[in-house]
Amino acid sequence: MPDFYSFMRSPSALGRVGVAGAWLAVGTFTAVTFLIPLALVISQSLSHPIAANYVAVLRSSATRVVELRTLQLGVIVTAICVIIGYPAAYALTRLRPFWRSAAIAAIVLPFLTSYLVRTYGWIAILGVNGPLARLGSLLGSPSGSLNGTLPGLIVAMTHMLLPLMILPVFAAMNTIDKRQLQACSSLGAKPSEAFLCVYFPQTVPGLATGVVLVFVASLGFFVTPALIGGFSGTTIAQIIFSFVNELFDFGRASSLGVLLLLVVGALFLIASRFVDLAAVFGIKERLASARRQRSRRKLRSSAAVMLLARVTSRTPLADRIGLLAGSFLAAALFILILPLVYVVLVSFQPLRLLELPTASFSLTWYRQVLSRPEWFDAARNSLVVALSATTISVVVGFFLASRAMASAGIARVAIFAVAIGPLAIPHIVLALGIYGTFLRLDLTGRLWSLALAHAIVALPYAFVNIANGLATYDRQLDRAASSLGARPFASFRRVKLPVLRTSLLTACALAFLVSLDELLITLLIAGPALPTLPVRMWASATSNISPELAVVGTLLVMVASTVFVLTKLAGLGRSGKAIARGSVLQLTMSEAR
Amino acid sequence: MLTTLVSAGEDKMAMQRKPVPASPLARLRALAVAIVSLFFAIAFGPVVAAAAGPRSLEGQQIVLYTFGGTQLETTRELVIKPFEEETGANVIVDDTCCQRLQAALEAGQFIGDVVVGLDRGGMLARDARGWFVHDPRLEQVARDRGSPDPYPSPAMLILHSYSYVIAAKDASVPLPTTWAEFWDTKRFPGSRGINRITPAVQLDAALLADGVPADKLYPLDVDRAFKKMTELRDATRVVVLNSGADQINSLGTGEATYAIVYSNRAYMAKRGGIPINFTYSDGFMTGNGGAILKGAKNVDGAVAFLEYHFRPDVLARFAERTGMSPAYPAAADLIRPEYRPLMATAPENAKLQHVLNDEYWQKNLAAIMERWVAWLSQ
Repeated sequence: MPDFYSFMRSPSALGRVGVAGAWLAVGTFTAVTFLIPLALVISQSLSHPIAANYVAVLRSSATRVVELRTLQLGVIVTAICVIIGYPAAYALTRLRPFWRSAAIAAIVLPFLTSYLVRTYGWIAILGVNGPLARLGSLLGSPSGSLNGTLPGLIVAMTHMLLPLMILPVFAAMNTIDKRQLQACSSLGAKPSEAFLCVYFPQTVPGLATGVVLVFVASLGFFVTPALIGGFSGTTIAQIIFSFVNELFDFGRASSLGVLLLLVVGALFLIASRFVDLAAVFGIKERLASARRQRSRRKLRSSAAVMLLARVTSRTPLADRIGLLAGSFLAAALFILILPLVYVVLVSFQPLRLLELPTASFSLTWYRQVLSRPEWFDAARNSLVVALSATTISVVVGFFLASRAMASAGIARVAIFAVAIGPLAIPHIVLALGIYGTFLRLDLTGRLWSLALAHAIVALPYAFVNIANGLATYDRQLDRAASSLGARPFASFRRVKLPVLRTSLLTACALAFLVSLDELLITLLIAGPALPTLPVRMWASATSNISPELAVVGTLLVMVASTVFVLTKLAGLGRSGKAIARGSVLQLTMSEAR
Repeated sequence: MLTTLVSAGEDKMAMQRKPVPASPLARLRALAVAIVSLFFAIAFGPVVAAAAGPRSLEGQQIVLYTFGGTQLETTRELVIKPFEEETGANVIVDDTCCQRLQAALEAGQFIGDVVVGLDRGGMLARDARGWFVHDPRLEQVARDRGSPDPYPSPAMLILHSYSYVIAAKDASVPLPTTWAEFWDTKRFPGSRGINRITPAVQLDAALLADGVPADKLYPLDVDRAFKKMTELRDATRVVVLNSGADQINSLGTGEATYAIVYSNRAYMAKRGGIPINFTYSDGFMTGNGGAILKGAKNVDGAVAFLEYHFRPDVLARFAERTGMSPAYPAAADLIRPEYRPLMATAPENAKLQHVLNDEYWQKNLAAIMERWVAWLSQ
């Protein structure tokens, strides 16, 4: 079975050296950017007596309340992202290619403008003069403002996190052959039965990916809750921040970070009692024996599924799934795009105020931005770092995901922990750990070391999406290719890569955007010589929020849209499936020849 | 814990250990400059001695660690550029203050010679951690200029004064002039903006609003203050603000009807055409300034930079642009008359305000912060 994994495991000397070399590189990378920083953070959380910081943190009722609140917020936002994101992703798969790529571009576009600017966008939209003020007074806010309320915070956080749900789910759905559903209906299944018994199970890996990304990312959220959440916006990340910035108590901050990591780990453990996480993430080969073991349990659950399907098929909505999903997609796009509209409009505000409507139309801030070369330097740095970080994280993510599939037991858990871990630690704590490590290794202030640090932040996003792609990948394609005479590498390049295209693109896109928006680590290790866009924006936003930020955001969106339109015109954008089928077909033909 | 508190004595040693590298020519020039400035010093007294002779720092590098934004633009134009021209020094600006300060200092990493833009509370806290080089010249220059600094110290030079004041979104609503009025939601209906980052000032204000006489304020009756804070939250919508920028934006957009804001922010906003309204009455005045960072490579350059920044004409122009009043009267007198009444230190304003007890807050912040977070998360 000369598929990619066995190719990597092949007894040839070259293969072995290659794998050992890859392990060495990946090992060094994760050690320097994650394991050593983590060890540093843990060592800093220990004091004299050894657990004093932990005792103090655990004794504090404020911390307990806030920790609970943070988890609660994460659960709510994740649930809403599932409810909106799943049907929206489904609607995406039903769009025609051009509109589909346009919609995906619209989902990704908001990430190009700093989250700071978008947060201020939401403040205006939710505010006393905003379009939602009337809704706010209905909800019981006296001034009509939803700022400082839980619903307001949830809407803004959904905006920030929704792409992390839609993209992985879409990637999973996109690999499903739509003819399966036709086959189901020709065999007499009702649409809802076909969906629940055939379609949905295949999307579970994507859904799980989205849930993990959204939930864990929401725990580390800091700026949005602080600015919009009011009293309900006190999160654990914020307490960590105040320990670092106001009280200079790195010990407490570290111990809180380690505790949050433990909570996330515990949640994973609890979840793994009920769901086979490894299988869900596709890092486990679905062996026939395992299937047999579970078949009895499955029989019972499938009876429940059938019942559910019967019930839902009687509801009038069942015939209109397409329309329903479409409206969810519209809602998702609305939430994602709305602050962007605000950003563009407010960039013409003459005053140093992020307010709409503006008194007059002014280009003052455009003149300001264009007259400053530092914005362009920052943009160039950002781009270089984001491209390098994306490459590193996707290559490492692919390697780790493939190895995780091929390994078992502790090794797999270890790979999983290293690949997801960077997301589970609060960002500020990871940032300080990386900074401490890089300082000691004299790696600060360099473009490539910044790219390495960004790559570890982006790694979980890349890993999870690629693992998800591998999970839904039909291994028989490899076999088909090899039986048709394709060498392992050829089948990898011409069959596997094209089929995994959507997952890989998702991985690349998320990794790129994560790097582009990364602030804290950059702030720490880049220094004055290497400004990036978020750092420049932060520097000008900490002391004054001005429409200048909106101008930079608008310009970025304009550039991105132009690039998108140009690539569309150049005719890129065939679906991965078509290519895969085409490749197998080509191989068949070359064999016949 | 890796945190090590370095004593003042060690700081001085660190300072002496790091000589400024200089070529023989530069040394000769420095000697000449020293002789000339000694002559001037004898002739014109201590004021001129503070500012050494022309091009005294030719070719030297000074790394300034500070915040970005408009304040930095003003600093570049009014301080850094003329300072470079006068002394020949090259000032390198790092505007990413202050996240990496602690980690860098603990790892023994050089991060900058001089930091500018921190408020007094922040500087006292950092000094307590041993992050500043103590240099008697800083205290001396403050004395020579007649600075009425309530906490003179060789660890920092307070350059400006500003105040935490009551502000209203515009002139359409009446402006409270005492904290009791700020708390009075019947006569002054509307939302209130308070600051999230620190309980300082707000608890002090709560106690004044509750009738505690200003001279009996410290040590704060924390229980009573929190009760008063809860009273405000129960009576009206309280907007939680996250930064000075957030204060002005919330007032400017009408999100907050009234808020506790930094006076220099309010001044800048008014100058920028944002129609907010504010009063110095019952405000809490504090300082803002600079210090020499532990591990500084160019202590003399850092001192020279702070001394330059402290000059009366520099501070006066700076005040006009930023609303940060000069730390001493001789400089405040140089402010153009149209701006003078807007300054926190203008005599008619100064007498309306209290001096924030930064030392009390530095000692008690950690303990009160715990309750503050608990109160915020209720």
